[in-house]
Amino acid sequence: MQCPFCACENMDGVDACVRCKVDLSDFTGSVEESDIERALLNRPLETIATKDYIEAPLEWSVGDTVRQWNEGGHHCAVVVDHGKLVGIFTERDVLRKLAGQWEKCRQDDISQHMTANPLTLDHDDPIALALNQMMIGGYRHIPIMRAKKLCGIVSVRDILSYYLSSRISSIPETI
Amino acid sequence: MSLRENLASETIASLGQRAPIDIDPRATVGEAISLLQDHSIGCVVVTEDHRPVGIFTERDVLRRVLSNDVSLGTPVADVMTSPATVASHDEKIGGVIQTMVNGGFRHIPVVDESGILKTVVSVKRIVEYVVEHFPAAVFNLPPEPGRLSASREGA
Repeated sequence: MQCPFCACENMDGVDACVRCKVDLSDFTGSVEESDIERALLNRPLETIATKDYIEAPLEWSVGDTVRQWNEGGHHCAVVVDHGKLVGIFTERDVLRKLAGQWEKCRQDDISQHMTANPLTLDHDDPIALALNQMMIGGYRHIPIMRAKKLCGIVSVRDILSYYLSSRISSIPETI
Repeated sequence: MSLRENLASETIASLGQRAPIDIDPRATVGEAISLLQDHSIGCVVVTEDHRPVGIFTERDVLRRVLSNDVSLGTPVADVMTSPATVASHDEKIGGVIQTMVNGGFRHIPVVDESGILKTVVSVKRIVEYVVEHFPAAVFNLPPEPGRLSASREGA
């Protein structure tokens, strides 16, 4: 049977997928409601990952970062130290932690306010896995890695955009 | 009924009617930011007589307040996005998704036939709705503790 989450072929009757370890003991196959849902379950995240982020060195201040966002139209910074991903800093960090005390904090190093060691997913993980983490973990941006190097980022809106583009040709005129 | 059919037939009202958070245009930016923080939300709707005249989002905080050194005592009307793109409560969910994606919106205020603000639909709520149609696929995925951070962004 094919794992609905990562598309790995497993022997019939296995309790868990050999690749992604998801529990297949109760799987009936009924979740693949349409080609679109199947695509969400099988398509790799690299399909929808974008470059809608900036790479911010650890020594940048939060003020520097926000200025770079606004100049480039970005909303998220991936914080790197010697080329290695060490954190993520987003609009939500600014709003929740800094917005009311901006004058005091704008010169702070980004490392003081970033989310350290963020969740990452691999480029060949299924889109459904990102959805899972966004719903359960509350993440809005997930860095996507290839061979342990950052290759893109996926946001909740990227998934919605993908979903819409997948189904747009099938939307009835009446919508 | 399939998800595709539901998106074409169900209205925004079926997403639930969570009470919206709104604010008077004469309120200050500081008060608006406090509302965003206290309610852990991404936008407040600016209303007059319960009708939307604008929206103030976390993106406005970045683009218009912090970047321009706008005082927290400034009226929110000076920095809100106006007019706000709104949706009618009887609009189909599929149409709202298109509006969100095409316009790059994370939140859309929903109004009744009189233009009265009823709720706000967020991109997160839309994705939850999509997920509700195949919950086993999304929620049964195993966590991988080794790759999870201790907290989500902004937490």
